[in-house]
Amino acid sequence: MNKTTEAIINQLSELILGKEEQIRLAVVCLLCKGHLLIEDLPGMGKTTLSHGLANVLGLSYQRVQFTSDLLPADITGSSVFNTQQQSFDFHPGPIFSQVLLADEINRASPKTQSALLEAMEERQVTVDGKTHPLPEPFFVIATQNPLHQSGTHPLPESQLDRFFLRISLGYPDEHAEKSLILGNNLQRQHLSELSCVLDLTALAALQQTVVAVNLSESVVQYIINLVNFTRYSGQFSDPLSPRASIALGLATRAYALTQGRDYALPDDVQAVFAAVAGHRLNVSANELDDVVKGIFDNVAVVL
Amino acid sequence: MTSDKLLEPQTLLTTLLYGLVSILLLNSFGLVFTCAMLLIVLFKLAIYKKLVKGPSEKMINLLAFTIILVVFVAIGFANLVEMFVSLLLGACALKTIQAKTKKQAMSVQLLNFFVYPCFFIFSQNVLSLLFVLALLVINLAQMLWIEHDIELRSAMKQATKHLLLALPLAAIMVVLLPKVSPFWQLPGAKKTQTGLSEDIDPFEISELSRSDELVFRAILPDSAQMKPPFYWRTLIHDKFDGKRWRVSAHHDVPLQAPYRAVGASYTVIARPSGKTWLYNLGQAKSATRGVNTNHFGTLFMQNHLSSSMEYQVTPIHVSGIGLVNWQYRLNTALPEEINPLATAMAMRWDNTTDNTADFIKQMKQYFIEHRFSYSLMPATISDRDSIDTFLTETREGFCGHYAASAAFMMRAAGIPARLVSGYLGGEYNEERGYYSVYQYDAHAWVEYYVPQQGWYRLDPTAWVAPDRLIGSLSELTEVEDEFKDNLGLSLMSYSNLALVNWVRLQIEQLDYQWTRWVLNFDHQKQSRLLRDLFGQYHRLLPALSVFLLLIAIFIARFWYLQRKQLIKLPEAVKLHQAICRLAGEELHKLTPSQALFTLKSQYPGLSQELEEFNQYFVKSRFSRAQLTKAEATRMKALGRLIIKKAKK
Repeated sequence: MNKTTEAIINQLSELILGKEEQIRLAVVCLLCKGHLLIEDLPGMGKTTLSHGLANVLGLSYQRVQFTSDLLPADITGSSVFNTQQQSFDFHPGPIFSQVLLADEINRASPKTQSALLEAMEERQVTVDGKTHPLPEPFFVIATQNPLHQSGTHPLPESQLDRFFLRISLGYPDEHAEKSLILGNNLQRQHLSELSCVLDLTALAALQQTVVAVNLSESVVQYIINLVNFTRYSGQFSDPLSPRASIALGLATRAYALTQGRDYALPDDVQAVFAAVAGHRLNVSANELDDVVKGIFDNVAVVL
Repeated sequence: MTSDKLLEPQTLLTTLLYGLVSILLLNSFGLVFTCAMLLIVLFKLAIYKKLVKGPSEKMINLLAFTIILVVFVAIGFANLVEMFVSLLLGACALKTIQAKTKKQAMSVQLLNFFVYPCFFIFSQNVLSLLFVLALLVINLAQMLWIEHDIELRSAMKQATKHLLLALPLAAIMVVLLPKVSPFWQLPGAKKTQTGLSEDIDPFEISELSRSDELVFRAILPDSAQMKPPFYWRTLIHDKFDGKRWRVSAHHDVPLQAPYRAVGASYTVIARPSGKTWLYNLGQAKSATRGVNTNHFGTLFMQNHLSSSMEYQVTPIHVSGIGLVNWQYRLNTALPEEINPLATAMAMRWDNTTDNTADFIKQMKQYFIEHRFSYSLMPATISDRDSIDTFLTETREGFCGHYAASAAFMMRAAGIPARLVSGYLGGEYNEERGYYSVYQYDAHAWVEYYVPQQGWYRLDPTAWVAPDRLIGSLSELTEVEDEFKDNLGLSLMSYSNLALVNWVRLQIEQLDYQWTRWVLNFDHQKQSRLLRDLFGQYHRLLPALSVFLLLIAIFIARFWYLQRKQLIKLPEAVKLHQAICRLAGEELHKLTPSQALFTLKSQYPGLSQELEEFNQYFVKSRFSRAQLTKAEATRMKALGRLIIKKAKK
């Protein structure tokens, strides 16, 4: 399984240079059947990443550019009257794909946002009283621009919680950027050429394996101590919920799996902590590093 | 059975025990307080039988107030110790009655571990020990009873077992722990029925020897070559006011005159008397700290004798004794115009004899010719000329009468004389070779002064009852019936029954051992015992090492159990922490791989070992798989290797 995840990460790393850790986290999110939020400025490679991920996994991919005039039906699809059949035919929207990139989600109106978020949670779409199950796997990658940008509707806290991880790609390093300029990496047009590393059954099996990763008592205790610190230190207005600690445990396991281990380490917890906790603690992406470091400094590692 | 149902019988039992304690301490607490305690017991009994309702808070407060009043009035501030102990007892009894929950009852039970041993303040003999131990066992059983709802019988069994298990440890501690002298002493908590008092008027006493309480024991070594009669000099009464013989103020003045030792030392174990005087034969000096000799040659202490004390006595002879004028006057002083008959008699004898010995002969003849008799229950004589009445009319009395009369007549004839009170004889224990002296052995005799020679002893009682000089008063057949009547209910009264006497002697012997080995077990005895136990150096070492080993095993076992229960720190973590400590304290906040990274940068030479150790460590701590034995050994070896190399 190490080989599989390693292969995915390697493939994507050729596409997005110098962002191996973010790619790994994206894979973790996928393995945990969660949805990913990428917060970044435009042009950082968000779209490329999500598209690449879909291709590598051999999943169907749809991209929706969220704008202020986007309606819920534009995502979920709508029923159209079929004059020949004398009946309403459901025309599925872009949501009916295995990987959905919701680009710039915070530009859409809250109503549209919540339509998507509802679907993410329930993994089904109800149109005109009829329920349509979403495909399996269903993986939403949403991107959002930094909140200070104009014309944005910030996602409410309760809905941010629906995202399993939040990552931010950030600027590439100098070496990577040089390569980008020189066009040494795989170009977007070559995206389709990415080889499919695993099929659906293999992915499902991999997702099953995540829960089999050993979370030792001390690691669990470490997670609890970290979560408790956000609750009782008085430094956070939105402390971590039990849902967050569950996510933390699951992400830790998946991260260990991507490292080729069948047991989790405190290092794994630290590796996923910022991505799992950042948006739940309502900390902006550029403050996140300092905040997380503060927490780690205050909570002793349990051995 | 629920614990609430248990609460009633349990608190009843505690109250009954308090009642028992106060009855046993009747002598110290007095009748009024004991009656008050018994009333509380009855009250509790009535509650238990559901004859009356449990007391309200108001009622308890009222009872408490009453108890305080009773204690203040009946015992008072003069006997501080008795007062506080009785207050404690009363408070505990009321708290027990008031207890409505398990927790409240439990708190009293806990307090009892302090309350019951207070009994030792009043009595320290072996029977008290057994009694207090029994109380503690019951107390422990009661705690188990209420806490765990087990049956009283099995609770008793368990409690006894626990106590028995604790006893050897206690014994070892008594033997081995360093002896420190007490930081404070109880003020005289002891009201003895002493046979002696500092001023005596024998003619007002109608009954003697009421008590068979032990006063002291003496261990006379064979080498001392002392033979009976043993006159244990205690108090010298040299002031006579016509009625009473008093102890002069010189009793507490240490001896200044030079002296020399004149015999082998012996040991006396005195029982607490609440007094300062001690007991010795003839003139004596003691090497024991705190024991002084006064100028009469008797021993005394600075503090009151509040607990059993063992002291060494060396017979001495004080040289350069002569009576200075004031001493001469003091020892011949008589009030004017009392006992004219006795005075006349003494003058007559004085005129017909030319030395003291002859004078004494005359006196002896008078007592024998006029058929004086020895009695423990003579008629009291309360008129002014009591000696006259005794000499010419009643002619019946005990030591005090004869001694007082003889001393009076000698003073009347101008011979310096004084009354001495102390003890005569003692019961000899053949098996152990010691003398037990009881209160009923109290005796009085006379000392008179011969110029240029010193003081001599004269016991006029011996003229009348020569048997009195041998052994103890209990062995004197003449007064056997009177003696036993006076003693009342006591084992001694039935000593003619062989079995009773045997039991009495066994208890006596046990008590002797107890006093000698436990109560008087001081630093000297401890070192002597250890020397006896472990011999000289060559025998000391193995015995001591075995003992230390046992202790070490015990501690290790205890520590191991503790550790297993409380601190689940696995070997691997400890090793890891030890390694991390090499690098700095903050490492405990790092994950294993971060710590590894830091350590590697600090000890680049150890990278390989660190890496390998970390692998095993991580596997043992975080994976489901257990380390194999070989891996565990390897990890430990690596850990030690790293620490060793890093320290270099």
